[in-house]
Order: sequence, then C-alpha cells, then structure tokens
Amino acid sequence: MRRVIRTIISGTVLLTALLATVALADVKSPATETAHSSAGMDQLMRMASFLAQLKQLSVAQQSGYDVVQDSGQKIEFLENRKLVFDRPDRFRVDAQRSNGESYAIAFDGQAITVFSLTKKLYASSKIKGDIDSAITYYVKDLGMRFPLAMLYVINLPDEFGRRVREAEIVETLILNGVSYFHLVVRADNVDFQVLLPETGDPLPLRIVITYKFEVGQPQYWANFSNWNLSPNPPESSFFPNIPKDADRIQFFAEPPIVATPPIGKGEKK
Amino acid sequence: MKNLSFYRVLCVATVVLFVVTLALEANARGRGGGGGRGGGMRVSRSGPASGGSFSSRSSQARSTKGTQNRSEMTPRDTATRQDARTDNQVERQSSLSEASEKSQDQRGDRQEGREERTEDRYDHRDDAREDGQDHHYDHYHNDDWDNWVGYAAAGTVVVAGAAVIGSTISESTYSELSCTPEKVEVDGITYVQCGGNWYMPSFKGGEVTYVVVDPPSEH
Repeated sequence: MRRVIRTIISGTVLLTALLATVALADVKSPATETAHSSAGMDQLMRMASFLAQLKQLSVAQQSGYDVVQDSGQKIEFLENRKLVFDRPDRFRVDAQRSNGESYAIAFDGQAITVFSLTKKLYASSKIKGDIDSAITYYVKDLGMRFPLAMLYVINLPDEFGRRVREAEIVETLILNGVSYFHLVVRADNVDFQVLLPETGDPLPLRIVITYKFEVGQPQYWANFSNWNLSPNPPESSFFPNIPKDADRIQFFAEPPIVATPPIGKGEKK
Repeated sequence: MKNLSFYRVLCVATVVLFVVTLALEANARGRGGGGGRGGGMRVSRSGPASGGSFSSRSSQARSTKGTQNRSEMTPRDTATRQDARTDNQVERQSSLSEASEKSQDQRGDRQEGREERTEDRYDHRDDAREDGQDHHYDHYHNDDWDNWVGYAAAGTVVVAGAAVIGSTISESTYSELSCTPEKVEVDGITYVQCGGNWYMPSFKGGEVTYVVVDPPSEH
C-alpha cells in the first residue's frame, strides 16, 4: 500500500515538475522573440539614422515590381534609377523603364521638374524648401511616382518608428564575401525585407516590399549598388537641361498655370 | 409522349447553353481576357506595387491595420478624424463654390465668349482632377504620405472617341486615335488638337494622360 502511495506521490511530483517546465518554456519564448525583434529593429533604425544624416549620396537602384492584371496574371516590370542627393535642397533622379522610356526628376530648391526624354515632354512645379518637402509634395500633392521615396527623407527614422510594428533578423548570409543581416519587417499594411551589411556603413543591398493586403500580393524590389557618400555632383545637374523641341505640359493634380513658365525651353539655369 | 417531352427539354437546354456560352465569350473578349482588343494584349504597367511605397491603400489593409497606436484610438479620436474629414470636405466644397461664384461674377462683369471657354476648360479640368483626388482622398488625409495611388487615378476614366469634356484618356487610347494630332502652344502649355477634339496632356502618376478640354482661347 505504501509503495502505491509513494508511486502516486512521485508521479504527481514528476508531472507537476514537467508541467512547470513547459509553462516556464512558454513564458520564456516571447521574451526571446522580443530580444530578437529588438535586434532587428536596432539594425533597421541604424540604417534609417545613417541614411538620414548623410549630407550627400548617390546610388544606383535596379528595381522591379509586379503588376497583377485584370486576368489575374502577374507581370514583372523593371526599372533602373540613378539617384543623387545633395542635402538640404538638391536632388536628381535619372530613370529608365523596361519599355525603354527614360525620364528625369530634378529639384533645385525652387521647383521640381519631371522630364520625359523619350516623349520630350516636361512639367515643372514651384516648391520651395528642402528635399523632404519636395519629395512629399511630388508624391502626395502631385500624385507622382517616386519608388522608395521614404528612404531618402531625413525623417526616415521617425517614419519607421511610427510605421514598423516588428523587425527581426531571420538569418545572416554571406554574399560575395560580405556578411549581411536578413531583416524581415512588419508594418501596418506592408511587409518588407532588407539585406543590410553586418559591419561597416549600414547601406541596404536589397529591399523587397510585399503588399500583403493587395490582390495577388504584388512585390516591389530594389537592388542597390554603387553607393557613394560624397559624389560632389555639379550644381548644373540639378537643373534639367530641357531641349528646345520639348513641350511643356502640366501635372494633372496641379492647378492650371497661366503665368510664364518658370523654366523656358532650352533654358539652362 | 414522354420521349417527346424529353427531346423538347433537351433542345431548349442545348439552345440555352449555346447562348450562355456565346455571351460569356463576348464578355471575355470585351474585357480583353481573350487576347485583348485590336488583336493585342492590353497590359497594365501600374499597380499597388509600382509605387514602391512603404504603405498600401488597400481597404482591407485600412480595416486591419489598427495595431498598437491605432488600435488604441478612442471613439473621440475617431470622431475627431471624421470631423476633420468632414471639415475638409466642406472646406473643399466651399472653396469650390467660392471659386465658382468668383468665376461667375467675372463672367457677369466682363468676360466674353473666349474667356468663358477658357474658364469652362479649367472647370472641366478641375472636375476631372477632383474625380482623381477623390481616389487620393485617404492618401491626403492619412499619415502615410508615400502611399502612392497614382495607379488608381491613372486608370479611372478611359474614353475613346466620346470626347466628353473633362474626361481623360490614357496614352495607349490616345495613340489609337484615328485622327492626326496637332500640337498647339497656349500660354506656354502644350495642347493637342485631334479631329474635332482638344486634349491637354499632363503627367498623372507615372504616365502621361490626356484630358479632354474645350478649345483653348483663340482657337
């Protein structure tokens, strides 16, 4: 009888210990995940702060994006962009789309101009201020396209701080002898991934954004190369050299212009 | 007798099936699903991912994105946002009305036919822009300023041949116009005349779009 009671008590103690271990393990895992998330967030914010404090930069951005057609077919289009920023108030983007169309966007602190080299059409809108104001105006008010615009504003750390809910390092990978953190980030309505060097300047090698709530979950991706943090661009590069035979048109979202255009044909500021 | 009824039903069913099949095929052709109009596939180059923004305009996204900060929004916050939205709408409408009144006064005072046409042209263009900006609405009033929705606006109105003033046609539709476009510059801005219609090309999203307008002054 005593042996039976002893067995029951031992069994109960063992079971209790086992359950307690499992419970403790459950409690521990979120803590581990939080620590991991923090490391990911630290790396993301390291990148954001670094990009935001740069006085100058130039970078080549090879990118692609999915477009889900009405038929449901997903088609990827490509685009190459070269971006030059001279803070506080100068930038230029030269882009070429996979259909052969070339265009440039230039901001000189006074006006932002987009020029389609292929179609020989351009539009210009006055906007005084810094690069952040110009990019925000261009995307938000003029409704124009500027992929990864947020990456190039000095407010980037705040933007990430406000939007990002979770960031983790899922792996460390080696590409061409360089070690990169593979960050996976969850924001309110997009997920994105970043490849960021483990050491040295935290300049992204690749960014992939997934529009998780959109039909077909399309992605935008960009591979970055030729980062230059002191390109010393000539001042003239921020003033578009509009050929004489180009036609001036308007931004659709802009009120009609009836005054003399700020940039005349063939005029190089 | 039973056999006769069976064959009748079979005949009717076959005819119905044939008609339905024809209708479905016609519908698929109309949508470009079977290779598109004019023998070519109509391909859209713009979509939610083409803007490369760190946010999305999806309504599903908006309804589910209330994590943390936003999930902590009180009914008062919501009400404030709604008020702001309403105020903005009212403001927008009132400024539109003021602009309209102003333009009417001006017309009453001194404007002649030519200037009226110019005003009308801009009014129509404003209407088209307003339509586009309705699509931009949430984008204008949320904090995700890079939530580019140009792709939505770019595909909103496509009119071929109808030439409704204020409507827009896409570049591909424009390139298919049967008339020969002729460029005309007015006040430094380029217009295009094609057949009896006038167009104002403009950058919209990442594309060039053509707004159908009244003839500019002096034309």
